[in-house]
Amino acid sequence: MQGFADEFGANNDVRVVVQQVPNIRANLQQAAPSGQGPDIVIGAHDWVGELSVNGVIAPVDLGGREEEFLDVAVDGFTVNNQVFGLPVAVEAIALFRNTDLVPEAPATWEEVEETALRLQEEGAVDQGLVIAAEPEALPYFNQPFLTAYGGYVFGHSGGGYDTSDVGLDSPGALEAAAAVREWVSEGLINPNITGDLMQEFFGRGQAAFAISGPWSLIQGGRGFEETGVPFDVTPIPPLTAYLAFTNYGTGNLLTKDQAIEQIEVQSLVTPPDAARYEAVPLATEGGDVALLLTDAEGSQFLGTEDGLEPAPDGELGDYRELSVRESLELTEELHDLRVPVEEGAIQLSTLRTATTRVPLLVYDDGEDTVTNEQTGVVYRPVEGTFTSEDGAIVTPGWREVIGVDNFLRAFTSPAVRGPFFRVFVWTYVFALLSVLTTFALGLALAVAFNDDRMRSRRFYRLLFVVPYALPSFLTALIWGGMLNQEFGAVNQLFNTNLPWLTDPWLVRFSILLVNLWLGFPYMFLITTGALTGIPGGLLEAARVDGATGLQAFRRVTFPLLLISVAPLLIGSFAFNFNNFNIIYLLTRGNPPIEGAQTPAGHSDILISYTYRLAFEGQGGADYGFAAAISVLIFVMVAAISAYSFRYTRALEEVT
Amino acid sequence: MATAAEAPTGSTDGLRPSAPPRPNGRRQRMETRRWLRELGWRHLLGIVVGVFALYPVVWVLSAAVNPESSISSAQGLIPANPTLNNFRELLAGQLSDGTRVPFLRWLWNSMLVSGTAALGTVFLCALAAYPFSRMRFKGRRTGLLTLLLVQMFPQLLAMIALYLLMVSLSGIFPAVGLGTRTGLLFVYLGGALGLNAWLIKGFFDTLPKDLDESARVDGATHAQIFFRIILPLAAPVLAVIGLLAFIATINDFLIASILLRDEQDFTLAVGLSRFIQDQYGQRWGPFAAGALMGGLPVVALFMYLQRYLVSGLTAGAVKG
Repeated sequence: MQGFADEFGANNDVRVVVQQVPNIRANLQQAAPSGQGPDIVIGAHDWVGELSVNGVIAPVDLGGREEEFLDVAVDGFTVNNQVFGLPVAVEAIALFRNTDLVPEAPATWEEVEETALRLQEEGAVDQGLVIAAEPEALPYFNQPFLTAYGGYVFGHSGGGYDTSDVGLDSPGALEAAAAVREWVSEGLINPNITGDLMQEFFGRGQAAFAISGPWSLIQGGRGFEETGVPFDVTPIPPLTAYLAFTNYGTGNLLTKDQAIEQIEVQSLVTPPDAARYEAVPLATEGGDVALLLTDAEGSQFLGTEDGLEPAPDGELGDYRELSVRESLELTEELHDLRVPVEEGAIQLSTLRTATTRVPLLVYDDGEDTVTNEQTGVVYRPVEGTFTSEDGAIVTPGWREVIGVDNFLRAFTSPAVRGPFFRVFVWTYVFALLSVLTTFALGLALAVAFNDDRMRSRRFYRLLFVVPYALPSFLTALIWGGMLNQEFGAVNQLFNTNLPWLTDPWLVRFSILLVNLWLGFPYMFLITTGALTGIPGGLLEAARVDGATGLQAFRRVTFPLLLISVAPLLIGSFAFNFNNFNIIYLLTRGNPPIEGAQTPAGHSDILISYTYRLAFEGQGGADYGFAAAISVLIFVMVAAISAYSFRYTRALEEVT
Repeated sequence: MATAAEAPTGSTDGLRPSAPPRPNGRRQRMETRRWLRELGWRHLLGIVVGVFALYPVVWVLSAAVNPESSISSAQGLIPANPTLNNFRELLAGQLSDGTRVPFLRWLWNSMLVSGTAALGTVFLCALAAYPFSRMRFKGRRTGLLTLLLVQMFPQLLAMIALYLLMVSLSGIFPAVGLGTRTGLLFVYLGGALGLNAWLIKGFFDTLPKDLDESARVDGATHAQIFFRIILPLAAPVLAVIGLLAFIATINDFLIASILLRDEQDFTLAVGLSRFIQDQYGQRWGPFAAGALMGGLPVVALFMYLQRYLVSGLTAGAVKG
């Protein structure tokens, strides 16, 4: 890729930056509306639905060469009859077979099943068949099973997918789900296998079959090609790999003007018999752009925003030809240039070709409506989306004030309320237990080491402070590795195989453990400070009165201590209430809560839940709902702080 | 509140009923049984907690020098053939499989943004604290209370507003808009003012007013009093506030991850977490090396300043 970019850059005297970016989809949807998106994105076809609905990608023109691509590839990039991407590669999953263990390719799926289970029982392999099933069983890998039984995601009617026909609850899909459950219970499919483990097992010859894709071949030393495991690749018998296509998501990310512009641009269609031109970009010194167009017969025209006029012998007037570099600088103006003609407008499709395009949806400024020129249906704005009388909508939508609906959603919609309530409760439990555990350990240490005879106090204190000194983002990431089920140090140390970070209950324990590690030094420091502040005479007096050590501690030391540290404990509670780093960097809120309509996990606290709602939501970020939740958090934290004010008497100090 | 955790004080031990404090030198002569009962358990507790505290660090150290970069091969704490390859790869900016990692750039970004934010916070807070401490004016009480109230709204909660604000700002002043380190710096500066200004004001209050009054009699202006008298006297508390602001900023993942776009601009927190995300299996070694190189300067700074910290902590600041 860098090679292509460098070559293009060198030929055209521009700088092309190639970047690898994680979370491309989410990042693109954040960056594009602010004008910071990239010019070209490489991504999978199943992003197209979401990205086009949100208006962050524009249709491309394949220049009449659709035939040169695989039908399935072009199909995948087509939404509402518009092609949104140039296919560069097609990949599918297939059956990898260890040829030492299974010399002959199985002809049927039942044969795979039988062979895998037999080898597993004989102990020849740890797992007969490996398929990535953790942390989430991806529909991508399960698609063959789904379709084998006649299930489907969306129905396919005529020109494209019919999104009103969802086949996930069709009889075939239910049958497929029952079959997968059967395979899990008989041990054919191990639900704990992650992509990493799949790679390890098959790569080391500990699995007879793997279902995976070409990315498994080369993987930084762990690829099947690299480990030297003898293998062969065949189609999954007798199933056909079939790529999932989703067109889900309704976005309201843009302003209304941006949305209207996108609606019009996206609805521009090129009729099959449209005239095609060779184009040469032109501009005046003042930067007005125009096109020199040559039609199929070789006649030349000058196309400006005023219309098309014949330009015999390349008569250019004030315009001059642009170099490629200059064209790229003016690329936005050039692509926005519409040369009005009778049928519609001539527009650039690449920098060298132009076609006549006809808008399907037209915005009427006076009426504030969008009309479909072909069918005559009129769409009116309803809550940030153009909607027709029978409820059909035009995407993308735009941001609009919707009153208190977002707050109501947190309490009324069952699919939202369920996870919200769980997250809410866990936030309190997490903050409370974090304070209690860290305080208990910190206090125990402070008491134990508050003894003048302990000469090595300073040394111990240096040890204890290490977790506190380490930046907490590193702490969370490091513990994430230590608690990893397959490779983590904790499971190695205790010779266990516990799902520390993937079990709904264990993950909460893990988080509290990590937070104990992170937080006890602070409690140790403040209680040590507070202990030294307690007058020795008081304890002396208690002893004289015959109090035992424990009694003196309970009745004298502890109450006095509490007076000075209570405000700090409340502060610590408020801090943990919003302790984003530990949750997000350790678990990202996972494991997910089943059936939740919003991205919510068992370990999510309100702040990480809000972050995921706003910046990681699929099918468009839900800024409105996320903002509503942050206001709710504020109310709760404010209540806690108000309570703590009464302890610190901070207000009285204002003199 | 007394804060001198260092200073040895008298018999403050709540668990020892009868024995008067003993001079340290006589421990050797103490009977073993009594030593075990009175001091041994303390050492035992210290060792157990010490191992708990240090184990992850030692483990990271071991992974960093392990020749295998895969986490699954990090068996045993002492690798057979220790190597510095992971460090070399990170410093060179490229892993053995060809992945580019601008680690030094991330570290520099973190130091630059956090360092500037810490200095800026201290200076701005001191500026804000001075009039609140030394002058009497209409709205002073309201101003102080507003500072406290604003502080109650954690900056994290404003993430969506901050993000949308920066998006709009990009259209007007791209230099401080979305995806710029300058923009991030401004957000940090805005978020750190409330409580810190409050703490510094409290310290200024303890400095005798006679000092600036006599200076004023001699003809000093407010600016001269602030820069020549108050700031030098407040240096210790300013150092603590600066350190706390530095640590809070370098730890921030959330806001940096929202506002920074370009890999070259990432801070260490954003860069490393993206680097290791879902790749524990393959990138553990380089990550461990990066964690050590990124964490050590902060740990060293912290250890050096920790004795000042105790007073800062008990005054109500919480590490972020």
